Formats: sequence, C-alpha cells, structure tokens
Amino acid sequence: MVKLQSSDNEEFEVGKNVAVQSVLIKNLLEDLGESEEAIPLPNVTGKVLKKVIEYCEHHKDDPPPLRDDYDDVPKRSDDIEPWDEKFIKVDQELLFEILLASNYMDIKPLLDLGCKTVANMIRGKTPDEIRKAFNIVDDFTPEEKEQIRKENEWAEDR
Amino acid sequence: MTIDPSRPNSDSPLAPSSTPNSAQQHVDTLADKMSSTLSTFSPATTGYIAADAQQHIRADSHADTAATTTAAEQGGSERDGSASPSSTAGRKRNFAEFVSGSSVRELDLLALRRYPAFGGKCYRHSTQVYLAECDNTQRQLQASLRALPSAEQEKISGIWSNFASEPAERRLLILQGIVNPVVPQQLRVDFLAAAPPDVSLKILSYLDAQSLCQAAQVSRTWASLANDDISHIDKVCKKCGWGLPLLDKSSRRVYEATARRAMRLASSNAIDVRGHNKALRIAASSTNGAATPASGKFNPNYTFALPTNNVAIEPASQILSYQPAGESSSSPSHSDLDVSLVSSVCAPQNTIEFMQGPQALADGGSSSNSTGSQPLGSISRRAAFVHEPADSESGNVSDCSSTNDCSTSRSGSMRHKRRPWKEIFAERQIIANNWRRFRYQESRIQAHTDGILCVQFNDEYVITGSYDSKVRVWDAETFEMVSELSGHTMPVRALEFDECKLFSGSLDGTVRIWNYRDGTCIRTLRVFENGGVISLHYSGGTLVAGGENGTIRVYNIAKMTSFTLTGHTDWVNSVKLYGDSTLFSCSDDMLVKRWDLDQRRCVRTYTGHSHHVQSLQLSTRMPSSLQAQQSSMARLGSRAPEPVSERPFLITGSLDSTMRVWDIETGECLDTIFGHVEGIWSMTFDSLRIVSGSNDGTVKIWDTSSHACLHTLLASAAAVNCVAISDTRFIIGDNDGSVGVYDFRDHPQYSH
Repeated sequence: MVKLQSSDNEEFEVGKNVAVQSVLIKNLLEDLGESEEAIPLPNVTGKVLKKVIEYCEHHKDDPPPLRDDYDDVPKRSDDIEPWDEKFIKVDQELLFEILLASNYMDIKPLLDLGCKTVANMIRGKTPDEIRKAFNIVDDFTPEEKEQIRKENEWAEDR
Repeated sequence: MTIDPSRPNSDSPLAPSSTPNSAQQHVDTLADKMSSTLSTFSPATTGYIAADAQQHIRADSHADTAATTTAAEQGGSERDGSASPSSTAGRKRNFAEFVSGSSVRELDLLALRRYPAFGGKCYRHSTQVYLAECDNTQRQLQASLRALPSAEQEKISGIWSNFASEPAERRLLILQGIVNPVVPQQLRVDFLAAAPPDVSLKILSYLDAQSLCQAAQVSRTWASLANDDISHIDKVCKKCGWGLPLLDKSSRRVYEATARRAMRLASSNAIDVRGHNKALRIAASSTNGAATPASGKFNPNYTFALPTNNVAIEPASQILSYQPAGESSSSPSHSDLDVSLVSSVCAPQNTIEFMQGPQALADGGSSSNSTGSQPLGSISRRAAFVHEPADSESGNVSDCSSTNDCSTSRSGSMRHKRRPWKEIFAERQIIANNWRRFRYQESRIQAHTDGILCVQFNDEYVITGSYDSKVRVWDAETFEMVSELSGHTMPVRALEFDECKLFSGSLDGTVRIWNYRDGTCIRTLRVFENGGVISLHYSGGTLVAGGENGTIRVYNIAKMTSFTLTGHTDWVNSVKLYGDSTLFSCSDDMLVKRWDLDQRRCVRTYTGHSHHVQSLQLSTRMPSSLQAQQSSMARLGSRAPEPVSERPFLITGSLDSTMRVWDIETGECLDTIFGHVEGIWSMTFDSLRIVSGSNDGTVKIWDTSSHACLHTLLASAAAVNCVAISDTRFIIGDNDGSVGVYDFRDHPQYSH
C-alpha cells in the first residue's frame, strides 16, 4: 500500500498498482523506496486526489498505453470509454483541476481523457459559443477581429 | 463593508415609477459592470461572491414584502447605516439594511403586525434569531473576504457597497442579473488560458482544422495557441499528405525553375561531351556537390532504380543506390551514353529535392557548397532526414501519376514546415470544396488530329499519345506544346513517365525511351515481333509491356534482360506491378490475372467481367495506423471517406460498363460498380476518387471508399479513351483528338 497526502492534508491509502499509474509517484517510489510515510502532493487537493484515485482504481488493470500513440496525429477524441465519459462528467472547475493534477502527477491516460473532453467541448462551436462556454472575454480589437475572421473564413463551408 | 461616501447617491431615493426606464438602465449597467468585474476574478473568488449573492437573495426574499412598503425611507436609513460601518452594531444594522432595504426597527414593527401572539415574533422571524443568523453568515463572509488579497477584497466590497446603495426593487433585479450568469460561470474555466501551455496545446491537438480556426477567433490567448505551427503542422493525413495532397505551389515553382535551369545546363553539358562520365560530374557538381557520389562515378542502376514518376518520395533509396566505384564497372557499355544523359537530367533535380529538406533549410550552407565530393555518409544522413522510410509504399502507390503526386506532396508537406498550417489547410480545403461541389475550370487542348489513346500528367507536363503515332508533351499550366516525340510508326497506346524519362508503347511493337524535355529518343526496344504494345508499366527498374498477342514482356532495364509471360489469349490492356515480384494484368479475354514474377507464372485468375477488361488500378496498401486519420480527414470538412478496408484491392473497368473491385489476396469480387450505360474505356483512381470514362463520352467521379457515384459529366461528343487524375485535376482524352482538363484549384494559373 502507498499513502498519499493531499495539499489539505487528507491522507489516502491506495494499492501500489493504483498509485504507480502516476509516473510521478512511480518514480518517487523507485528513487526513494517504499516507506510508511505518506507521499505529499502539495499541488493536489483532497477532493481532486480522490477523483484521481478513483480513476486509477478503475484503470489499474489496463495494459500499459502504447508508446506509438504518442505521435499519432491527428488524434481522435471520439474514443472515450463509457466509464471514463461518466467519470469525467464533472463541472469545469473540477475538470480543470483534474487536468492539472494529471499533468502534475503525470498520469497520461487521465491527461488524455481530460484534454479530449475539453477538446470535445470546443469542437463544432462558433467563437461566440466557445466564449460563452468558457466565460472568456473577447479581447480583440475590431481590426484584429476582421483580420482574424478573414484568416479563418476558409474553414467555413462554401 | 464600506461604502464610498463620495459616491453620489442621488439615484436611490427615486421612486421607481417616476423614471422606470432610466432606473432600469442603471440597474442593467450596474449588473453588467458587476458581472464583468466578477469575471476578472479567479474561479475561487467568483465562488465567494456568488455565495454571497445567493445569501442576499435568500435574505431578500425574506424581507422583500417589508422592503416594498417602505421605499420612501430607504435613502435616509441607508445613509445612516453607511455612516457608521465600523462598529459591531452598525455592521449588524447595516447588514440588515443591506439585505432588506429597511431598518431593524421597521422589521420589528412589521413582525409585530404579523405575529401579535408571540409579541410580534414567530421563532424563525424573531429579529434576534434572524439577526444572529445574519451576523453569523456575515462573520463567515468577512472571514473569507479577509483571506483574500487586499485588491480582491476591495473589489468585492466595492461590489457589495454599490449594491447596497441601490433601492430594494433594483437590488432584486441586480441580483437576478448577477446570479443568472454567475452560478454557471463560477464553474467555467478558460482552460486554454489557465492551463500550462503544453496542456493547452494538447487539448488543441485533438481538434480538427475547422474547430481550430474557430478557436483562433475566441481571444488573443486562444489565437496564439491555435495558430501555433509547430504543434498543428503535424496534422498530416498520411493517406494522402494533407487530406488533400498538393505541393506548395510557390516554392515548387521556384524549385521547378531552378530545376529547369539546372537541367538545361546539365543536358547541354552532357550533350557536349557525350559518352563521357565526366559530363556527369560536371553537370552534377556544377549545381550541387551533394548529387555527386564520393566515387565520382555513377552506377547505371542509379538511374533506372528511380521510382517511376517519383523522385521526391524515396530520396533515401536513390541515394542508397549510389554504389561505390567498383560496381559501376558492371555497367553494360552500350548503355553508358544513355545513362549519362538520363542521369544528368535527373541529378540536379535530386539536388533540388534535398535542398528543400528541413535539414537543408537548417544548414543551407552545406547544401550550397559545391565541393563536388560530399562524403557518402552525409548524403545518407540528409536522405534519411528527408524522411520517408525506404519501404514507403512507392512500389504500391506509384501506379498512377495521381497517387504519386499524393506521396510526393506528403514528403512535400514534411518539407514545408515553415508555412503556416492554416495556409496549407486552406488551400486544400478550397480544393476539397471545389471537388465536392464539382466546381472546376475546364480547358481544352486540340492535342492531336486523331484520337487520343493515352494521357499522363504531373504538375509540370501533360503527355499524350495518339492514333497519329505521335507523342506530345504539353506544359501543364499553359498547355503550350513543349515537344513532339516522333518515331513510332503506329498509334501510341501506352505512356509512362517520370522526372527524367518517358516510355511510350506503340502498336508498331516497340517501346521508345525518350528524354521528353528536349524530344530526343534515347533508345528503342523492339518488344514484340508479332504485334503491338498495348500497355506499359514501369516501376523500380522493371518495365512491363502487355501485347496485342496476349503475352506480357518483363524487362529488367538495368541488366537489359527480359522474359515473357503467357496466359492471356487476347490484347493485354493494362499491366500493373505490385511490389517487387507481383504483376496484375487485364485483357480483352475478359480475365484479370495475377502473376508471380519470380516463378514467372500466373498464380490467380479473377473472373467476372463479361466484356473486354480495359483498365486496372491497384489500391495503395495502408498501414493500420492510418485508419484513424481518415476520420479526422472527414472532420477536416472534406468529403468524408468511409474507413477503407485495410486490405489492398484492385479495381478494373470493362466494356461491360461496370467496374469491379477485387480483393487482391483472395481474388474475391468485393463490389461491382454500376452506373455507366456504355462500355468503360478507361478508369483510374486515387485514395479519394475514382474517375471513369465511357464510350458515350461521359465521365463519372466516384468515391473510392463507398463506390458511390459523385458526379457525372458529359465530357466529349466522342468516346472518352483515357483518363488521368491527381489531387487537383483530372484529364481526359477523347477519340476526336482533344484533351479536356478539369481543374479544381481556386485560382487557376493558366489562361484558357
């Protein structure tokens, strides 16, 4: 078992096979050896860590990700498994924190899942809809706007 | 909670009925201001504010009956309250007012009126309990507020005090205005701006080009991320380069011009000193040292090992076929002259290709130095960098000039990393749209006085062969005749060409090899003594000719050895090499045959057509990793290709007016494509489209994946004898001697 400690001092005890899905933890365990002491994760709150652990629990028996899908471009994002899809159905704030946590803890499949989910939220939307969806302020000047519209108009179906 | 005393408070005593419009406007602008201030906070802060606002709403609904009855006194009592914000009592009062717009005394009075039995107070509405509750909440709010940086504190208390200075009925409005967007907003995160850049780019990497363009219009941050070339330039569809294969026009023009100049120089040198290997060295080194092998000698293998039509795709293999001096001694002396001519034409072009490589871009210095003897190692390194792996399907792909273009531009796209991805996508997108809507520029060349029997083209040239025994070379943009190749004594039925040479097969039984740029015939092969040459295919040093007599002749061009395959009983209309040792052929005997060139025998016969089989084309073999990318191509907005079966297939066109799709390995007929009403004289396809020409003058464009007919065009009053296709155009040749060019580019560069 491995103990993990969140930024708000919540402790979680998880199986090693669960914990090592985080490359950060895997490397820590390899470098420092296993110990009774909890591994501090100062960038991850308990709420998020709980969610991350839930993911790792579910995926602990997954085969290791294929190396070659790293450069598989363009990537597809319509291949999210049903469990993952349900798992990632959270509000944007939590989704964002999960993204950051998976990036920090180096859990590639979870990072992929998060990125795909955000990409799916962006896809097919007009700039206005995107701004609404993510509460973004349009900071272009009218001139820039016209310029950038021209630059991108080819993408519209003609 | 402080209120700026300097703030003019003239609005608040206004009776709402007197100036409803201006008051409403005021509330609106205030609410707007507040929301926009809110949105500048971090999500966490926004959360606090929203929680606070919710608290107000709850409180407000408690008190709003009271509030509306006492509008007149509000202004005064508010000002009272704001005067002593620091004392505890003041804060209590102030908060109660803030919430209800009425003073504590009024609340008490109101309660007394309502609940006389409890001394005016029910438990929940006992002023004490209520105030204690409020005070408690207030303390919590203040604590949260104090935890924030002072700038944030100021902002929030500013919002609160602005709000407090409004009359009650407007507060409700303001609150509604704030709460409506805020509650969902607190859960909204500008992911791209907030996440580390590599995560943001990763998110964008899942997007198609169209969505990327939309994303680029969202905000400055998004624009800079979405326009990042390094991360999005790699959105290559390996199926055909970019989904819509096309070389970078402007830079290609430059290199073509350079190549032409170099070629002229090289060939004039070669002609001056014909027969001398030295000519080569001069020619090559005069343009670029990289083209000269360390030994300074060429192996003829080098020349003829060039993949058909395709210098760009496999620079690695070309370079590897440079051999040290020892081997070149095996060259047959009689071909020396031809080889030197041909390779001198080729050499500068290879050079140009290399110069386009990213490596060359990176260290332009070394590619322009003309030392004349670069170490072989450095050449290979370059070649490797230019990148296509040696087994990169050229054998399978380069059956037609079109698929060929496709592969060329694939390496082309690798080369032009510096071009904004958007520009490249835009170019391709426009072409895709034009294909989809069948918008094209049509040009006609009255190319020959008699029927056209065969047409081939690349980006530079269109080459036609005719009943009139002539081969003519046309500029692919201006359609001016570049050269006329005379020599055959009978109609020219078949053509094959690449950057340096042209093979033409004629009913006179010969194949001629030409330098088509200057019109000289390099060599004549008498292939059949008893009949004409009907079909040709050249790939990887092997030339195959199908004959009128039903036999097939296979040449190893370098060694000048050949053998014959027998099996067909009538004209062999098309031959196609597949890999190193497999050949497909189709014939007037209605059969399609697969041959093993090592065993020199027919290994499979495909039966099904009920009339002469005129044309045959092989699919490219697609590695499975490319499957996924097709769906992204669909997203690109181009016509969505269905996932193609991974198994290689071949398509045949027949005078029975059908086309058939066959599984290459099993020989199973996968589909029969109906649609033409008369016999199909010619058919070819690339990874996206099939084009077929019929006896009745119609041309049909089909989807290569679904086999659905996309467009039908009456292209000629006469039979369409031959068709050819590339990413941007298709060309037909009819029985009246005219050639039709259908160009799907947006801004045609030619003037017809």
